[in-house]
Amino acid sequence: MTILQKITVPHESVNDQYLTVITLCFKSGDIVKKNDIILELETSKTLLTVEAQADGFISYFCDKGDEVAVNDLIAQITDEPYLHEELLVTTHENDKKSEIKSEKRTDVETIFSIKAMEIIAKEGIKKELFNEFDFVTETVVLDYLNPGRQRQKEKNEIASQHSPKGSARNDIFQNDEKISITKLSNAKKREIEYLSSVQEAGLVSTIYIDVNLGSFFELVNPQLEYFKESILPVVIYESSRLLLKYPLLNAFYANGEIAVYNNVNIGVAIDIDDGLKVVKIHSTNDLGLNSIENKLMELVEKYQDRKLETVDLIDVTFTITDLSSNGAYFFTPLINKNNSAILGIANSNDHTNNVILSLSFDHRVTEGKVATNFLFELKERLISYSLHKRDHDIRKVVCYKCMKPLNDDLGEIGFIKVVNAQGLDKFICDTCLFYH
Amino acid sequence: MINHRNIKEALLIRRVEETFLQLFSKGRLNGTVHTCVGQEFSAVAFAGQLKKSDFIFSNHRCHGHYLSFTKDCYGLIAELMGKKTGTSGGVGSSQHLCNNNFFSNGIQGGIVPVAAGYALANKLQKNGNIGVVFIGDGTLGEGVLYETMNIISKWDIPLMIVCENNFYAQSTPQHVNLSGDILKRAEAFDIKTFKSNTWDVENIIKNAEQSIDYVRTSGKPCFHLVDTYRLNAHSKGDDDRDAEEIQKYRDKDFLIQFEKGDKETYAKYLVQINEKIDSVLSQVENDTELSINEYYSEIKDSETSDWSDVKYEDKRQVDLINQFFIDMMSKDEKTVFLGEDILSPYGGAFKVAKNLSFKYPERVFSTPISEGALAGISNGLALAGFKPYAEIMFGDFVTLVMDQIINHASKFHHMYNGKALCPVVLRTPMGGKRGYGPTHSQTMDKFLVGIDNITTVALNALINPIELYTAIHSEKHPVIVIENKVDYGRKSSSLRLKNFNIQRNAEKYPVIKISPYSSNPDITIVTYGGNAAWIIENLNKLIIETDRIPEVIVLTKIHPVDYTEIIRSVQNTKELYFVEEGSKYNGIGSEVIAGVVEKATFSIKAKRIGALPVPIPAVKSLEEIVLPGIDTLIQAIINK
Repeated sequence: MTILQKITVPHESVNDQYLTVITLCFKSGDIVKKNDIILELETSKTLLTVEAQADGFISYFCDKGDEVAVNDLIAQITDEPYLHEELLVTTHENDKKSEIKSEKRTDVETIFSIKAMEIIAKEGIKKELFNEFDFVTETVVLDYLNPGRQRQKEKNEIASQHSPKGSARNDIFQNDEKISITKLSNAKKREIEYLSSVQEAGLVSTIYIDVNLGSFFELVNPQLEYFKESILPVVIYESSRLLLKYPLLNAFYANGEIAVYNNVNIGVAIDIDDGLKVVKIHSTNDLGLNSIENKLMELVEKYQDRKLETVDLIDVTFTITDLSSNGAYFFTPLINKNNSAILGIANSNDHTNNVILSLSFDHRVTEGKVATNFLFELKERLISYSLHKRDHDIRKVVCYKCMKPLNDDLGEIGFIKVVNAQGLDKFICDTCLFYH
Repeated sequence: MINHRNIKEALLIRRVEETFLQLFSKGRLNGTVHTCVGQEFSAVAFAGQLKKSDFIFSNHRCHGHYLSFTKDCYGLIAELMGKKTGTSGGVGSSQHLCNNNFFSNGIQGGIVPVAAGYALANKLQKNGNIGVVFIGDGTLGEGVLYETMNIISKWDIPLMIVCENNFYAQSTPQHVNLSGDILKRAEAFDIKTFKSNTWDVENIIKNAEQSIDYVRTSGKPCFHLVDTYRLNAHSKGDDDRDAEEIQKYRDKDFLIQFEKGDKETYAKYLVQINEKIDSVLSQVENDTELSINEYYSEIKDSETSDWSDVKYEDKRQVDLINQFFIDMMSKDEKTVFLGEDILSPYGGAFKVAKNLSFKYPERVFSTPISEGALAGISNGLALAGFKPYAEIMFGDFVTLVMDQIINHASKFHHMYNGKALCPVVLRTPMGGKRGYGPTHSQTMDKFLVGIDNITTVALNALINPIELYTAIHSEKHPVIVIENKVDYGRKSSSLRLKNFNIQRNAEKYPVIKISPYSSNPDITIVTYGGNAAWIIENLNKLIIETDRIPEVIVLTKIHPVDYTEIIRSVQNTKELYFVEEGSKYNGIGSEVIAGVVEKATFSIKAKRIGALPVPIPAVKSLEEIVLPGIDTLIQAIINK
């Protein structure tokens, strides 16, 4: 027998040490074809599917609903049915042990440790049962005698890690008749774990600011393709530039140290009836307004088609949540794990183009003054869009440092003509000039 | 008549050194300075009369030789001021200068065989260049000097040894430590001798020229004794000499007499020289110092994930090594093979050099029993661009070459700020289990690792030595290769295993991984060299008796260690056993386990397995107990 593929639990996100088995697409012993989906795993952020890389016989070492640890072997594909699995099943059904013999690789001989032999002798088991093994140690024999042993051991370990304060439930639910209990979904449990990370420390504060947008949309709408009447793309654009100036808001607290991200990857919280997800716009500060809009649209479509990949969800360095279109007037956003701040956008409900920006920040990483300055500067940038209307065509001018086209620059100053070190005429945007 | 160019050169040397003493007093020089004030005409006579393509090796008192040979006043001053523009980037300072064919080192005696190797390179290239190595009378106490005199005479190597006899070894007067006659030492080796002194300047310049001509035309060495006297202390503030004695020599000093005799000319020269020095000093002031990034870069672990099955060879290891040298000496004319007792038909104690001297008589050198000189000559050949392979007959003898390894080969590249490369290869058979007893069985590996800038490779029975030696041949820095006496006779084809996959990664010095065919291992055994074979042969026994399933990792490079695969394995098993044949205290296992603990993000159990800390007995029953074997390893695992 040759193992064609070993399926171990992938390490998709630094935060997920355990994943949940959602679907097993076959039964152990079934024949699978290359590219068949053989199982699905749920991470804290997305579903992962695992495909067969070869034709062969599948054996699962996990059950639906199991929490499995990263790097665990959970399935394998072999060129012949996997005996170990059969052995466990059949030995419990009847006594046909001695019949279970399949061809093994001829040059592998089974070696028994002395301890294994002692137990085999004591329990009166046939040695041939282990023909498929290369080595048989005490552990292998004990696992055979008690098939649940290994699984149970692992489950106990998981359970002990996941419920540090075990007795709470008894206190709350003493009188079970008065309530009906719904088990939390794994996704919800992870959401709780995820948001607890920063909020649990209790050192989170939120600052609010009111912004009158004036004629903002008159100017911005013509530039936008999908998100007309939405402030979100411009907020993403401007925040990503501003975060370079406020690195502590693009950071996180970790064991007494502050980790500052080198990149700005803005995450946008979306929840369109299929669970809350934070999607990532990679290297946001390198993107122009239209690229941001396109990327956001692409992610929303992926969300709706349930085609988000892990890569769309990890490594978010700062989060923006926009509840303005939902009519929220005023809210306090919760900071995500491995972030130090989150920006909320709400709409004051008086049709005067006013928005309320809220910034929650982790006080272990930064302080109110920084957050306030950030918000004020963001406000000024947003207001600047409404100050002047452009009345002439924008030529195809590009900032030589960030490659942003003048088309995308809706700031007040526009581009500045400079002479570079080679003596050539260049254009530079005000962001690169003043903030880099 | 004395050429005034020589007088000016001597005066420049004196003024530069006096400037150093002033700078030192002001705390502007880091370290110390050895001046040659009073001895300058030795430098002018020899270093000043060599060709540019000749070479010089000098010692701690080298400023004069450097200035006369290179005329590089700026590089010298900047060097002592610790500037990046110094000839050795400020790394070497006073005693460690390098500029084209000029090298100096602060180790007494060790430079002599290196110079001999450099001169041998000239001889092999038939380029007519010669060299001078400067020693002092204090160096006459070093044994390697006599090893080298024996060899340069026997092999007709065009090298002149200039012995500057200033009658003091640091502060000890000569009569306390020196017996016999200096020149007779050289004469005993049949080396032609010359004698001069620095007070009769006309004569020393003429004599120097004659002796240079002698070496160049005869292609033979000579020994030139120069009586001289240093008017200042050995270094700084270590002078207990009699003031009257010093005054006697001041009165004889040429420059002082010249000043008295021709005040005007002297003053004119002095002004010119002082201006030159002042101008250099004012420029050097503004030069920057070397940054750590320019000097040192960290070695990273591999990220390879390419694994392939080990290829088995049906030939004995020693025949494969021999095959490598037969082929490489034909392919690369810079390849030189040196060792003791290596001439064919004998071909060396373990026959690695079989037939080599028949095929390449001009590049195979069978040396006298002089390990220090053998290693030093190899270093010199390497500095001159050759690829020397030095065989130390038994690993135990490496103690005799440690000075060449540590103070020369290891340091050249860095202390000359990257100006020199020393791609020397030192090979030696190591290990016991042959009953050779205490001084021919010990595993000395732990003394051969952790040496800066030196890679240490240990052959094992699984990787074809031709692959490893081909990689070693391309190295630009020194490599020590540990071979194993027992493995010499082994064929890797004898090490096939049924229940394990034996794979190696794609690194230049591959890591080998021996993993159970399908079981998940629960312990990691790391080893290298000759231990790999006996562990592999006994893996089944180990599992039967310990009830543990091992993954074995065999390193071929034991310094610097590549931790990637060890960490991966231990992350799974959390239990590490390191097996080495040397005694385990402060051994390679100690280092590897410390490295794993530093790098791992998880906790592990670990144990070292090595020889008992006693000399290896010759009697078989005891030798088997003292050296680690499969039973030692099994007991270590069971008792963990």
